[in-house]
Amino acid sequence: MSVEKLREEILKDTEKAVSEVLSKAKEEAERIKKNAEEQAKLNIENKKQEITKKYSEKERAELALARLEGKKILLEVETKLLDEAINRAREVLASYKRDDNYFNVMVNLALEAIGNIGSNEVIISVNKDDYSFLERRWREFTAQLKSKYPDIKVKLSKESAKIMGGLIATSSDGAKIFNNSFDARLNRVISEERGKLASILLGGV
Amino acid sequence: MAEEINQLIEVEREAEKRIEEAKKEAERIIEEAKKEAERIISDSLKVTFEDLEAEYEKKIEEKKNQIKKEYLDKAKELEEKGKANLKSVVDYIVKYVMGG
Repeated sequence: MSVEKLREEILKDTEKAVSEVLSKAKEEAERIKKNAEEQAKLNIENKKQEITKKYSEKERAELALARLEGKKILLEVETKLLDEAINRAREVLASYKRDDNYFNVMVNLALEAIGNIGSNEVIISVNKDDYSFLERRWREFTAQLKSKYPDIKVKLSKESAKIMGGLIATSSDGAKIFNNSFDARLNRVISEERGKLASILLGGV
Repeated sequence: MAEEINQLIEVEREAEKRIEEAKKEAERIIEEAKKEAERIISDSLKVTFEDLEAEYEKKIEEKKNQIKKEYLDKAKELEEKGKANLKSVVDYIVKYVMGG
């Protein structure tokens, strides 16, 4: 082989080797960049999902809070209205006319109290106005109690109770008390019948 | 003959040099690609979704306002209904207290 031929051969092989080296490097570079782009895409997608999750949780929490605040507003309105109803009822009860109907109410309250106390000797305490009212009709009052509890002995306490109306019954030994005053019954209706009152308020009953 | 051999040796030397240069060039290409890759990843970590976040915030605010409005409407309705039924509640309380 001539020198010239050899020279050409060497140059040809060299170019081939150079081309291969550069080609492989470019392929590797492309691979590196492609991987980086995929990683970058994944990073962005992950961050987007993170944000979506964060706002989904934020939305759930904030909307729950908004609903809670809404319910609080409704409860405040309901409480305000019930308070108004209770105050009006208190006014009605405090100014209730001492008539036959009121007399019957007192009889029924006394019967309920006696039944609960379960004693044959009972002292009844009422407010100042009711003391005068009952004293005037005491015979009739005790007669009605005896119609249900024939052995009952009832005394009207001279000490007036600071109550709106109704009565407080105490066994003669002081061991048992049944507070059937309007005040106690009003507290009972407020604590035990709130659901019912709210239902009436909303027109449910 | 000796001159020819020398010429070939010179060609071989040039060829080796050429290949070495190509290898360096290849290293440079790869290094540059690595730097580019780092930049791409670094940029991806800096990406913000301010528009998306603002959109979510807006959506949440709208829903909150909607809920608030719904409850305020309900409160108004409750107040009207309650006022209309207030007497019935008073009557029920009075009846209960008086043992009815």
